[in-house]
Order: sequence, then C-alpha cells, then structure tokens
Amino acid sequence: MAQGNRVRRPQRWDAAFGRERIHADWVNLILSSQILGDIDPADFPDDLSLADIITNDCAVRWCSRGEIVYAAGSYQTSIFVVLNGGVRVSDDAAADRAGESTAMPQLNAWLSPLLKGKFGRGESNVTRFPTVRLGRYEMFGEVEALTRTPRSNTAVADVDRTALLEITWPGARELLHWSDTFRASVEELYRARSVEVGLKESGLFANIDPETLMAIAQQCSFERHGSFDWSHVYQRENATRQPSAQMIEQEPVIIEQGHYLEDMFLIRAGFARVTETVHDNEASVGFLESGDVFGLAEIEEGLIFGSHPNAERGLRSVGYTDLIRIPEHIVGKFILPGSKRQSRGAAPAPGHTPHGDLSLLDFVVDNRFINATNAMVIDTTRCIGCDDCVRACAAAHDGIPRFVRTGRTHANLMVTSACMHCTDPVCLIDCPTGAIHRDAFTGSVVINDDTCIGCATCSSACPYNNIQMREVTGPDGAILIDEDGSTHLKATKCDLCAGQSGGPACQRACPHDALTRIDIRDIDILSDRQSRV
Amino acid sequence: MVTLGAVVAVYWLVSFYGTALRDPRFLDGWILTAAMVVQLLFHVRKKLPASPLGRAATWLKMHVYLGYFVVAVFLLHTSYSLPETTLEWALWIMFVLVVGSGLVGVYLTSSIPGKLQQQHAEQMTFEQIPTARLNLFREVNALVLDTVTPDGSSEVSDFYVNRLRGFFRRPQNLRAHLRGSRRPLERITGEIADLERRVNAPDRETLSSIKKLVTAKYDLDHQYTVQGLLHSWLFVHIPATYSLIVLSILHIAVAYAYSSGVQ
Repeated sequence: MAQGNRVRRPQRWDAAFGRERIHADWVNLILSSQILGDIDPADFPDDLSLADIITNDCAVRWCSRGEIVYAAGSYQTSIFVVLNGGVRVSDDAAADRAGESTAMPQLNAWLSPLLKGKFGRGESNVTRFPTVRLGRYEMFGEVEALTRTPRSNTAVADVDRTALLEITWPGARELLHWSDTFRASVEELYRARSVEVGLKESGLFANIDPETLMAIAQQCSFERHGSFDWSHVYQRENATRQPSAQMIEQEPVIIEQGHYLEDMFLIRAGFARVTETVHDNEASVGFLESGDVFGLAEIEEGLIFGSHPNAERGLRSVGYTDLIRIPEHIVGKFILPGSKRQSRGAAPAPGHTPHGDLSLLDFVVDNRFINATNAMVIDTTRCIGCDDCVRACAAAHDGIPRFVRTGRTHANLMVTSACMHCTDPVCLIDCPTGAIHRDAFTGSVVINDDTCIGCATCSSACPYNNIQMREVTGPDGAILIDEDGSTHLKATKCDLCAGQSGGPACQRACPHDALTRIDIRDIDILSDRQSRV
Repeated sequence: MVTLGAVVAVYWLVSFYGTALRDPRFLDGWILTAAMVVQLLFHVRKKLPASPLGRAATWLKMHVYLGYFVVAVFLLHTSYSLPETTLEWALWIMFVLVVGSGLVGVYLTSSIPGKLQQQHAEQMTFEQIPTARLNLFREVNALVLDTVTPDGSSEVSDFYVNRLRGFFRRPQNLRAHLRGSRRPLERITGEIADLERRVNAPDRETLSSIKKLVTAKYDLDHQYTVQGLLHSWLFVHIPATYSLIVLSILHIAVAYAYSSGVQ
C-alpha cells in the first residue's frame, strides 16, 4: 500500500455558506435588532457563538422583484427572514386544484437568477393564485426545514432590492438547539402554518374560499406524537430485533381502537401505524403518511346514524407523527358533502394496506422501510448472486461499491443495505456542514464530498446503517492521513448514480431482473414483487 | 413467436437463395455468424456494467431467444447431418458445448434461486459462506474444549477429532448435496444420538448443541454446493465460446478458400 499523505483535517466552517461570509455590519445589525426575535447571544457557548453561526451558516440574499426564492416541490431546507422589502408566498395547493403543474416554478427557480433583469419578471403561480405577503423581519420556510419535506409553496420577491437572511439548516439547527426563545417562536409559527398549509394541501377543502379555510384552520388543532429525532430510539429497539407485537406496544398511541373519535385526523408529516386488536392481540393493518386521513368513515357513519363515532381501528405513531385534528362538525359540513358515501359496516383500513400478505406490512413498518422512496429490493428467487449489481455500482463510483448485497429479508424480498433516500432523512439532521443534503429537484439524498468533514454523524444517525465511512485517497492512490495521524474519512452512500445517464447502474446491470429500486410507500408494488412468478 | 418467425423467414430465404444457383450455406452461414456476433454483445454489456447500454435483463432475454434462433440456423447450415472433417467436428463439438452449457445455465438460473429460497430461511451470499463456516468451526471447537477436563471423559472430544473435525473444516458431501440427499446428515446425527446415551448430563447438553451446529454446517454446505453449481456452467460456456469464435473464423477462411459460393 502506498504511504499515507498527511493533510489538514477539514473543519466545519472552512467553506462559508454564501459566496462570501456575511459582512460584520450585517452581523451587528442582526444581533442588535429583532430580526431573529429575542434571541440572546449569551445562550450560545463560547466556541459556537451566535455571531459565528450568522457569519458562517447564513447568507444575505438580494432579490429583484419577481425573483423566485424557492419553488414549490423543490427540496430546500433553509429558513428565511425578510430583512428588507417583501416576499409573496403562493398558494400552490390552489394551483394544484386548478390542475397546474408545479414543475414550471421549479424550472423558473433555476432560471430566475440567470434571467434576472433580462426578460422582465418570471411569471409564476404567485401572479395568478392567492398569495400571502410577508414583510420586514417575518420568517418563512420553517415548515419544510423542520419536517425535511419539499417546499409546499413558491416564494417570490415582491419588490426590487428585497434582502433576505437565509439561515441554512446547520445554522437553524444550532439556533433551535441553543436558544429557547428562537425555538419557541419557530415552533409557534410551525404549528400555526402547518394547520393552514396542511388543510390546503390535503385537497379536502378544494372548493372552499380562502377566508372560510382560514376560519376552519382556526378551529383545527395541531398535535405531535413521537419525536422528530426518532432514529436513535429506533436503533435501540432494532438492535434487540423485537417481534412485531412488542414494537407496536412501544409506539406512542394516538387513539385506541373503540375509543370515542371526536375529530378526524389528517396526517401532516411522519408516519402512523393503523392497527386492529383481536383477542388482545394488536396487529398492523395499514400505515398512514402525509396527506392521509383517519376516522373519516367513522365520523360519517356517526353523523348519518346519529351515533357516537368510535375508532374502528387503533392508530400509533411510527417515529414521529404530526397531525391536524379536524373537528367532527367541520367534517360534516365541509368534507362529507363532497365525499362518496360508503356502505354501513366496517370500512376498509385507511391509508396504505397491502392487498395480500399482512406480514409484509409488519416487515415494512417494523423495519421502518415505509420511509424508503428508493429502496433496493432483491427478489431472492431470481438473484443468482452474480454480483453484477455490485460491479456496476463500483464501476460507477471509482471502483468502490456503495452498498452491500445483504439485508433484511421477508419471504423472497431482500431490502439491501443501500441508501433508501428516505421520505424523512434523519441522517441530514445533525450534519455540521450540510454536506449531506437532498437534491433540490429529485429529492434524493446526496453527499457533497467537498464539504464533508468526515465526522460520521450521518453514518451513526442512519437508522439502517446504510452510510459508510471510507478512507480518502490522494491522486497517487495513497490513503490520506490527518494531522493527528488518523485516517482521513468521508461518508459515502448510494447516490442513485447521480449525474450518470440511465438511472441507477445496479438496476440496469441485473441480468435476471431480480434487483429493482422501489418506493416502498406504495406497498402494492412490493406485494406484486413478492408474488411475481 | 418472434424467434419462430425469424426462423421461418430464414428457412424461406435460404430455399429462395438456393434457386438462384448460389450455395445456400454461404447465406445461412453468414446469418449464423451475424447472430453469433450479436450474441457476443451481451458479453460486452456484462463487461461494461455501468454503461447506459440498456438493461442487462433485456440483453439476457435477447441472448437466450437469439440462442434458440442460432440453433435452428445451425441445423439448417449443417443440413441436419454430422460433420465430415476434423475442423467441422471441432466446430460442431464447440457449438454443442456452448449451446448445451447455455441451456443448462438457463435451467439452473431459473430453478436454483427459488429452491434455495424455499430450503433456507437465511440465505447467504457465496462470499459470506467461508466466513460463516469458519465461525461454526470456532464455535464447535470452543464447545468441545469446554468438555475437556483433567479428570473428565474424553468421549466427546475423541468423537469430535475422529468424526467431526474434518466435517466442520471444509465443505463436505458435495455429491449428496447435488442429489438433494440428507443421508450424510442423518448418519452423523445418528452417531451423535448413540454417543448421547453413553455420556454424562453436561456432555449430553454439549452434544445437543453440537448437533445443531452440524445441521447448520450441513445447510451451509448445501448452499455452498448449489450456489457453486449456479456459476459452474459458465466455466464451460465462456471458454467454449472463445474456442468457437476462433474455429468459426478458421471455418469461414477455409470455406472461401475452396468455394466462391456459386453452385
């Protein structure tokens, strides 16, 4: 092996977030004003001062009128505060209802800086659908930053020379962690806006005017079950490989089967498990994700037959669940008139339920594979172990494969140890530099090698152990050594062969059609794969 | 259906070509050569696993169906008769080897993974098996060492050294595994059962644990043998293909050396 070359270990703030670090005048202005609320610099430790966080993890963005700050559907996790001018945030749910794609604002978001001042104002949904105007020192973008979800609306600068403070996720995480006042104000905004945005996005109130919807939102309430940072709890549970019944028992109860159901639940973020209890044995019958509802059939039946609605099934939080409680009378007045009446009796389980094997459901929920948008699933009745998938992965990534052809198995399906590009990628939460992030367009989780400092935070946070730390080699092939003598590491994982034509090489290389990339949330696809001849 | 249609079309074309007083073997020979070149492209696709040359699964399907087509054209080319010269015999044997091993490969790759999945709840990759075997060997060694005391009996350790050490050290009973037989396992577990009647209670417990490890090792050997078989046909298919290429080139040269293709 070649002799290791000594290099300086990269540090968190080697590269500033913006093109340049924020000028000291701006930092002083931010610290001396109410821009970040009542945030107190004394709450921060000496080696992680508020000024340092603002200087390195924030940027001041200047926008001309019509410039898109972010587009609906894009994956972008910064929080913004208006420093000067104003921003209009569109109601893209209205655009969706009008049947318009959100793809154009995404394209506009990319083109916007290039076209600035050349072709007038970029037309977007903001100009044609209801908008909310945000002025000086108002914050926006916190909902998606906290839930790691794609942008639910489009934000556009309303006037020329609009100045925005962009707080990257690593910076926002530190502010939320150290400052109770900042955390409280963000939480308050998040809860209030979550209800409003959630109701709009759900499509349940498609034909309701904005004023009535605002009035409805005020009568609904927001609830969180479980914890945003669920991965460590899951890793502990997972280490002991408990049976399904035991895992269900440990999950926070949202409502028990047979209990009075006074509100309908609309899942805002996270996942929930739908269960049925027969002879004291509680078992999964489905799961819910963002946008799914629970209790509609029961409330409908109660209203029609004048009985108290009781939950026909139980609901438990898987990891964390943010939900909106919609009161019974709102359901009766605004939702049921537009819905199709189901026959009396047990309604089918809400949400995602496989059409066959329920043990498959246990498998995907217990192992939290419901989080996977792009899991690598191998049909073991077709796989001959030729390793062409591994070779293809290696060929696409400088000779080093980014997955191991082993994993949890159910019947003939093996979910391999390859990054699943989660709906809720918890690996992103604690990355100090934001090197691990979601691709703005595709949402796949990728690592920026230039800013990865090899701290292994993402690797230890991944609930599925799908991120590996690998030695870095120099141009001469020698392994790089840090100043303290330890091996220079960087995090690596499946990137879905980003930047290469044809999609993931592993899938294309499988000669027996055994390997496929699957969005496990669509459990019927998995079910079909299981029963495929 | 496409393959069948192509075969019928070639048969018609060749008979039509013959009526023009040309040697039809030149036409079907070149069709055969062209089809074999396309067959080889699958090998190229496999050598470039990350290339955007389409899905390997589609390439394999084409490889198999084109293989059936090649067999039909080969029969036509040879006029359904056995060869006469040494070169033709060599070519014929290589062709039969390539086709035969290919058909065996199609059968094995479509039947073995499903059977393995049914027989083994926990499947391992071929590369993991040696490590798993070593772990079992260490585990059984540790169990046996625990039974050895200065004043204790040596029956378990003697039995292990004489009967089980070799079994645990390397893959065993390959022929039985190929036949799907469990007779060797029954023989060993029977011998352990005999020994259990002659030893004290702690040793009986040890033997019971050893019996489980014996079963685990037998299952591991089964996986090793069958997975090995899954790849073994390639050791015939690929070298025979290379030989076939060389002989085919030689055959074409000889054919043109002695004939211009006009009857």
